[in-house]
Order: sequence, then structure tokens, then C-alpha cells
Amino acid sequence: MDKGKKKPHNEWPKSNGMTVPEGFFEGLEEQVMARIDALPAPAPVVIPPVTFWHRIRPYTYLAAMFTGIWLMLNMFTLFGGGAEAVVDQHSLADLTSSASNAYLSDYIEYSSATGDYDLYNNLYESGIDIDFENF
Amino acid sequence: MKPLRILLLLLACAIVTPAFADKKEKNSPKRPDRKEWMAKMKEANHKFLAEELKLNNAQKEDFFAVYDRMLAERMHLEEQCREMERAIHRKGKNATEKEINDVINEQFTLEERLSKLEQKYLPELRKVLSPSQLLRLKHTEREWHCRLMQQHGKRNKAPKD
Repeated sequence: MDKGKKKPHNEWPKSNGMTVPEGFFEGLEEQVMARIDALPAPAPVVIPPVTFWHRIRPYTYLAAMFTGIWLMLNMFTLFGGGAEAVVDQHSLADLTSSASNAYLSDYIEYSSATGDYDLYNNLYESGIDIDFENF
Repeated sequence: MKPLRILLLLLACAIVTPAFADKKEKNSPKRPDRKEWMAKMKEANHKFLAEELKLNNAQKEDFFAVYDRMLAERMHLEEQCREMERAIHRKGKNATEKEINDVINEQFTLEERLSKLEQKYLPELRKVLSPSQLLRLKHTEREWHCRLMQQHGKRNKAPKD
């Protein structure tokens, strides 16, 4: 480092430039307290009484939340045709919607799961309106 | 009070939803009487088999007399098995080991018993059907089952109202 070069901080003023008027802090506390005393008194804080509603409110909200969920599930079941029905007919629907007659024939031939009773029973239970004239 | 309004709204929903569900239930087509439905199904089955097997009038009477008895016995065996399965499901954990084993035996011997039943009726069927018709019978029965399953498919494809 070049020792001959002037360091910049040596040129800075020794004082930080912050000053207060003469005697500013003398009697400051008394002055502040006098001003506070001169302010109008604040209105007394009124704590509202704890009512029955306040006490049951969290439980009511909790109950309302669960009721809401229950209603929502009810609505899904109502408009979705019922979960049981969906599960009940799922396998048959898969078969009949995507498979050809040949596949169905093979399925019935090699599967022991579908007998006359099961077929008739499922068909009746599903409440399908069958056109017997053009069956 | 706002929470009170919310509560009233929820209460109203709780009242309206089951009423709505009932209405939908009432509007859905009424399920026909089971016996009546089965009689119609039997009639349709007869019509289908007669056409497919090309049965003449004399054959029809003899064949369906044998076939209906066989079908009734077949369905009885299957129903018995399903009833036992349902009974076990209803009992759940209360079902005894013996009861469970009985159902397992019933399930695993059902095919064998159905096969024996068909063998029992084979001589009678031979008497009323020609060999070519008898050869076609199993295939025709499968075709009939396909029709029944396609009815299921129609329901599942039908647009929801």
C-alpha cells in the first residue's frame, strides 16, 4: 500500500453534524408529562360480556363444517346416481361398453362368475326398463 | 346475526336435500313385480331360443318343458350359493369357521354340480332336439347371456337426467 497517499477518512470532519439546541433535554420529561396530563382522559375500555353464543360458537362452526361436508356428499350421491349402483354395475358396464360379442361370449364361457341367476338378478335389481317386445 | 343466518341456511339445506332425494326416487321408474318380470324374461328367452334353434311347434313344447326344469334347478343352485355368501357377509366377524367353510365348499363345487345337472338332463334333451340343434344350444345360451349383459350396458350408456 502506498503510505504517501492520503487516506480519505482523514479528510472527514471530526464532528458528526448532529446537534440539539442548547438546554433541549433539560426539563424534557416534565414537559412531556405536562402535555400528556393536558390530553382528555380516554374512554374506559368496556369488555363485552361472554354470552352463550360466544361459548358455543367454535362448536357451532365445527358442526356447520361437518354438516356442509355431509350435504356435499349427499348432493354427489343424489346427482351421481348412487355410489353403490356404480360399484355394482362397474364390471358389467366395462364389459358391455367396450367389448365385442365374441369377447363377451368367451368371457361368459370361461368365467364361472356369471350364471343365469346372477345375470337375471343383476338385471332386475338394476331396475332397467326392458322392451320385451323387441328384446 | 350473521352466523345465525348461516345456520338457518344449513338447516334449510338439510331439510330440502332428503325431500329432493325422495322426489327423485318417486320419479324414477317403478320396479315391476319380480315374478311378472321373470315371466316376461322367460317368454323372451323362449322366443329367442326357438328362433335361434329353429324349433318346430312340436319341439317347442317338449324342449321347453325339459329346458325350463333344467334352468329352474340351475338357478336354484346358484341362488343357494349366493344366499349363503350374503348370509356370511351379513354375519361378518360373527361367522363361524364351519359356516365359512360351508360357503367355500358351496362356491367351489357349484360348477361341478351345475355340470352334473346338465349331464342329468342331456338324455332328455337328446330326445327332443336334433344333434345339430343340441350342438347349437350352448352357443345360443351364451348369445342370450350376451343380450342380457348388453341390457346392462344400455343402462350405463344412457344419458343421466
